[in-house]
Amino acid sequence: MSDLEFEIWNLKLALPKRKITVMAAIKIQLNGETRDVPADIDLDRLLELFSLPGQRVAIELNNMVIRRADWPGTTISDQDKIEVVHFVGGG
Amino acid sequence: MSDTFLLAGISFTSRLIIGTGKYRSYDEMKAAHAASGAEMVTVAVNRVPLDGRTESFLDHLDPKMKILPNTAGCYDAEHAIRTARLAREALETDWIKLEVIGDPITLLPDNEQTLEAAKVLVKEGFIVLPYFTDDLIMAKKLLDVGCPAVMPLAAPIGSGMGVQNPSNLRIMREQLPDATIIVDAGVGVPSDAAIAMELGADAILMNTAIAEARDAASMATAMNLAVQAGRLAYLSGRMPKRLYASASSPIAGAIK
Repeated sequence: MSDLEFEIWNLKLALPKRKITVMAAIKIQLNGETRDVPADIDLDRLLELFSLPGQRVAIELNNMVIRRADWPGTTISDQDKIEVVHFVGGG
Repeated sequence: MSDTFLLAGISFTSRLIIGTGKYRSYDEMKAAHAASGAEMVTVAVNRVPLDGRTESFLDHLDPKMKILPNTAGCYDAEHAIRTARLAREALETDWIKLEVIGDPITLLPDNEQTLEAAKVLVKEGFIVLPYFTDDLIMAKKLLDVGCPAVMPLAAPIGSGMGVQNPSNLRIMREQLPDATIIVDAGVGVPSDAAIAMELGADAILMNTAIAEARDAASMATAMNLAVQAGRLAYLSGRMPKRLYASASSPIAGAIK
């Protein structure tokens, strides 16, 4: 085996390792349902991920309302309990 | 006669507040809302479905309507408080119809939990409009903690049974002459609404009586008229009730 072939072999080994790190997921309770989401996403990204509306909705993270201005940058963690609500007909 | 309905600093022409639930279609709801003359409608806070098939319910409401979110479906103060906070964040309104239910069969209010929630929410700057059992003492307590109005039930939610205890409503009106009293829940037909208004209610909140009518818009018109008639009657001062007759035509001078 030549030196060159050895280096190429090493490179091949490194690639799948990095891929595994990117795919890391966490489990959350979203509106009462268990869902897997990528680690460290923020609330803005969460709405996008589930195609949820961004207007006239409110988000609660572990029983605390998160103001709309704070959605970007509020990252979610494993086992977080999140409620996304909107309005429906009622009396 | 100028007779505006003042609630927490906002003046309304109509004394009818209506719900947005149970309508068979958006078109039917819109027609009923327009016919009712109401200027404020209630909405419920609910989880957004995760299937991505969401549409904005609020887009189906007349933009001129004031929206009053409720805490329906809450069985304790903590859930009602959380729901109110979510509603405020989503709608940018401090107004909340506080509803804490005691059991799923009767949907009767849990007055104790309602009072607890009212205390917290008033401190947080909410305009709290509490639904509660038609009880004078509870009304006083709710007013004392800072609710700008009280909303006693006429009968259980969606029952359509009308004012079950007119004496309680009358006592509440007489003992709390300056309080704003909104009868919430239990009205079935326009005569029920008129009775509540004749007894001195300042306004009425209803949903099912209109939404479940065969012709919702037509019933909304009837309710609008009944609320106005009842209010006018209350302001006019009713005749006294007598056990025996009192002739309307002169007895003297009648031929013999």
